[in-house]
Amino acid sequence: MAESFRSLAGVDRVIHEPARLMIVAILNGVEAADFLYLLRETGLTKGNLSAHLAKLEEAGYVKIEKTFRGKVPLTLLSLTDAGRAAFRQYRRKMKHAIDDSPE
Amino acid sequence: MREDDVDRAAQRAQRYWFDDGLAEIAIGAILVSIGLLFYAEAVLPPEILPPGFSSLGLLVVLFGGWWLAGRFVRAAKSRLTYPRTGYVAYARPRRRRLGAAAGVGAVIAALTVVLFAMAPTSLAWLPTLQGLIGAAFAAYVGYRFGLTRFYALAVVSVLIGTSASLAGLGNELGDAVYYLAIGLAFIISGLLTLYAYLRANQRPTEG
Repeated sequence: MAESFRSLAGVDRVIHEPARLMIVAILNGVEAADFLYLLRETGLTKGNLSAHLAKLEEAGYVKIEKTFRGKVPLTLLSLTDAGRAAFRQYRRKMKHAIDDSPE
Repeated sequence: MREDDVDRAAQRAQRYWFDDGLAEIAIGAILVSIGLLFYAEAVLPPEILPPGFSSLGLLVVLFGGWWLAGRFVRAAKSRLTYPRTGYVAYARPRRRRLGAAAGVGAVIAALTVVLFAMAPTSLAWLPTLQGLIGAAFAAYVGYRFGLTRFYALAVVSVLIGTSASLAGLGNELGDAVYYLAIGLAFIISGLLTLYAYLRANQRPTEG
């Protein structure tokens, strides 16, 4: 079994979960997004999205910032440097494993 | 989630800036302003125009227009877009990318000057060249952000530029017509996109 394929066992499970992978993939493309944008893009429920964001925050991958835009409360989400690095590594591992897998 | 899906998710987030058509309306307004400036230069007698009208006017329209357009887009998005579909902040473009864009612009400008210096009669084809450059820009935006309507704008840009040249308007009036028409095309495209966006996304009710 190829080394890259074996390394799948060590893949980052915080990111590997599909809903969290979706969140991280979206945030990786921007500097920050608010809760409403993520809610619409992921199609998750408010509770589900909050729970996944809490997990990502706990892992140090996502920064959650409560702020205001004018008088409107705004929850801003962004990937931390650790989050971006973890996502890069996750993609690299998955790509190698998939490239090495038989057709 | 496959690798393609990850790339698409990132591209969708980038494309979100254009979802409401406001950026196109702003770009269109700048292009129309350039067109009006060129039109004034083409039709008004040179003695009533202040010295440096064209070059200074172009600088004012470009930098002032860019500043105003930025303010307009941000204000309109705050009222129309963010309450409906959410807020996204983008990273500033990297210096390398800005440098590359400036480099491409400088090379195109230099080539244009050399070309028209070598063959002054080909100045009549300047609107066609503007059309091709505009088309390349629109096609690049369409490709980078996955926006089909920008490919249509690219085609429109070539058609307007070529028509302005073939109509024999001369380079000054031809340029003015090109910028006015392509600016209007951007504004119409933006307004249609805004209309479709507002219909598809109702403002959420309070509470």
